[in-house]
Amino acid sequence: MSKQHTYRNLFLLLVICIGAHVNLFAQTTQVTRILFVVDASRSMSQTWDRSAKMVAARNVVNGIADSLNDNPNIQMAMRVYGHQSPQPLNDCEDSKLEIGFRTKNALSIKNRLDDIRPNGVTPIAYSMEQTLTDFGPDAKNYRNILILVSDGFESCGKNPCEVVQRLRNLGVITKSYVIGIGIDATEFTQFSCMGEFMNIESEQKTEQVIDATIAKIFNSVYVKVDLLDTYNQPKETDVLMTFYDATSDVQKFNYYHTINPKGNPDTITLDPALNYDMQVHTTPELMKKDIELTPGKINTITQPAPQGYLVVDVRNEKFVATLNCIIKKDNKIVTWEQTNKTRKLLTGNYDVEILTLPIITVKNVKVEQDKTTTLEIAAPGFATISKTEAVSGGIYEYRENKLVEIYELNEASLKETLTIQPGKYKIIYRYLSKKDMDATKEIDFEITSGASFTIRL
Amino acid sequence: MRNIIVVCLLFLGFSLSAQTTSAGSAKRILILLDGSGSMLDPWKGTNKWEVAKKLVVKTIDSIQKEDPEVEIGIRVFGHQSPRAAHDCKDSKLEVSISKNSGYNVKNALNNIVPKGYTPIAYSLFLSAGDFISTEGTNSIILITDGIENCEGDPCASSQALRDKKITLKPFVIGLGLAETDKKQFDCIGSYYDAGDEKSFSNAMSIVVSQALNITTTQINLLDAFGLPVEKNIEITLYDHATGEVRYNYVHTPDSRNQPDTLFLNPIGKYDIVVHTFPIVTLNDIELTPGKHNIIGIDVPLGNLIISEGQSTTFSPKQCVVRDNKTGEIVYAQNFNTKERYIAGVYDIDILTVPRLHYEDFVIKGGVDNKIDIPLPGTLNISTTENKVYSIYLVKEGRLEKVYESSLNASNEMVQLLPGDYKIFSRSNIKKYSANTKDIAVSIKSAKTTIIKI
Repeated sequence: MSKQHTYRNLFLLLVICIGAHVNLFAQTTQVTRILFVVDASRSMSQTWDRSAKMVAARNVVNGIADSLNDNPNIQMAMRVYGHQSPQPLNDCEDSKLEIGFRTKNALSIKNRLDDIRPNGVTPIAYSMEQTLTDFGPDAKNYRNILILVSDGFESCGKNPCEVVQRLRNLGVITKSYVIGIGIDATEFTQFSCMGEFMNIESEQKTEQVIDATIAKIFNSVYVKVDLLDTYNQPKETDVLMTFYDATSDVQKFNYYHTINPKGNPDTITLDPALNYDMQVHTTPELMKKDIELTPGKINTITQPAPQGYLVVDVRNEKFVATLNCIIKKDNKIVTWEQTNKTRKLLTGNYDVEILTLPIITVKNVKVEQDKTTTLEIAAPGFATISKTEAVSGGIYEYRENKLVEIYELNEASLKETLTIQPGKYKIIYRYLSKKDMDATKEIDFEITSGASFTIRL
Repeated sequence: MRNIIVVCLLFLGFSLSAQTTSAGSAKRILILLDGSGSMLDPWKGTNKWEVAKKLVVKTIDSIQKEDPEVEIGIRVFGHQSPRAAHDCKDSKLEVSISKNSGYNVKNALNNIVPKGYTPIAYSLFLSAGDFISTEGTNSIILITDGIENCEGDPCASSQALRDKKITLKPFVIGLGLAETDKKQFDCIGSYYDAGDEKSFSNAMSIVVSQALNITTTQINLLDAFGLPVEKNIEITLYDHATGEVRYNYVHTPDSRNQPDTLFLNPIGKYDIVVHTFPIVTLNDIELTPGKHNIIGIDVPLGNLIISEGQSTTFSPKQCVVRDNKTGEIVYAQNFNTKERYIAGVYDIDILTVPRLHYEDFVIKGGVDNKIDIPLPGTLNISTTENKVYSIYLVKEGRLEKVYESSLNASNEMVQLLPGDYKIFSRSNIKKYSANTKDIAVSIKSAKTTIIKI
């Protein structure tokens, strides 16, 4: 007995340290809330192994609560069902939050549990629904752990699995555990849908389940992310990674990927209670779904993220005006950038639309590992179009022998200055005052790099 | 010696209501003949007046013999007052426009002795009233050996005729006139040169055959409601066979606010391109010679306005309007401008930070379709030490990167749309993932937010 206590105290110390560790690395000090949902239906009074099942339930709840009592970042609460109405009444709403969330309330939980006598039916689904209120509207600000202690499945005809799943997806419950008291092996699957399932087959196993539960909740999980370059070397770095809870899609951790001073990808710490979707904020962004991690060791996540650079360069250095460029991949816009600014991109083929006059489209621009791909465009010239009176018309160029309008003249303006790529153009226009299509005029002009031209209409 | 010029003016009017090729089939010709003193000058062994008289009578006879329905009249100017009188209102309708008028014209001309001035502009001005109807084909053939010498402006008279709801489409026949003098007729008609009786005769027959067999075309640009009211749009007519450009026009309604009448060559087929965004094409168009052809093209236009209010920044701000099926750029439109597009569904990308995307944006025909973009705010970021950082928007629970720090930048100004952002950073000196820091920042329109990280 005393040996067991020593072990418990040691473990307690460990838990406090690890708990603090998790919080340190979680960037913001997040409070963990543990809600015990305890079965007090009539079957819990049955004698099992050496004493009643209710005794085993008390031992497991008290054991966990005692171990976590001194951690200022842990709040606990307890909901009990089936203890208020006798079984023949079939009270399917017999469920009550006996102890609300507070720090250091292991003793309150213990005292209340001592007073509870198993009595009625098993409304698990209804109890789960009530936990939405227990966790409250600011549930997402906490790390919410639900521990269900029960000896039997729902007896009120509802589907508790569905309720738990819904609360998981909403991000209300971070992680749920089910501790079964002498559950028959054939019924395991019924319980595992409500959370990670552990069974206490005999009283002897109680301590083991307590320790395992705490370890699962508070052991840190260490992760090394290898961002691979084209040569499968983990050399890509300095990019933000976001870890989402794979079940609820709630954003959990953000880390800049770093090659540490030893030259290796730096190890990061994540919450062991979750599976993750990892988003790597390269351009375009990458997503790796449903990553399962093993607590107590360093997990390596491998993600190819080979990158190179792309820049659209205006050839004449004297020219300083900026032009917009749209970068597309698979016909979807990845990003847009201005000329002469270098952009880091995942390797591969891109289409670039340079919004010059006329628009220049370059297809299948290859971005390669660590290299800078430079798209050179000729420096544009400047055309000042000066009108003696308001005109309607446009600027055209010949493309495959067809006239293509590249710019619609502004009817409201008598003088327009445009930045145009070198080439031959035609303005087709008519004074707005002339109500005669034969008054249409054409003027041809040529633009050369860096020079200014005035075209009088 | 002055040469004779024949100017043929075709004043055409069409039925306004009935848009069919059969409407207004009447054909009327008014011959406007110079009776000024110079017409008596010797010309290739005779004089211009004698040649003109002979040819005019002969032409009228042959036309009315061929088609008795053609109505012809004659107005002469400069024949009533001597030169010394400086009579610039010397112009008279000698024979009104009517059928079977050859005999009357011959009699009238035989009684005329050229003597006076050349008031072309004034005569053109009076001609408008000589036609009894604006329906059908109304032509004027001007035969003169000189230019206006009454300080009138024939160009202005032509414009006045147009304003009087008569459409003008001229041909000019000149007889070796001085280049500078020919120019005066540019605004009136197509030019035909005749240096002697034979070429004068040729010019007459060409002009007459065109006047009687004129092919006219009207291109109706139909709006969202099917009305021919879209205007101020460029149109290119390509030769269907060779692909060459035959005509470029900026479409307009005429002064009666009807689609303007064009005199397209009826030989060959056309491919028509209306330069809307995107273009509308109508291929393989054949004109019926000698008729009024109406071509209707649906170009239901709607306006797109990308409005940013009072812009304070100088950089070019653009949005890209794409075909929502092919993704091809239809037009790159600048902020705070209005452009017309064919009514329909487009994908629009607005190049702000963050970029805004409007999928399946409907541009409705006949109205202004407006997208309001809030003015950006400026984020001024400075770092206390060498750091990497990037800016994110939280969108449906996901972080979306909107900006990444430039390499080795210690102080940057970023234009961001108003909203709440998160900046993540990590020191390049203390290189550990655990040193990832985040800071929330709220950007307000037209305001500068200063952040030190």
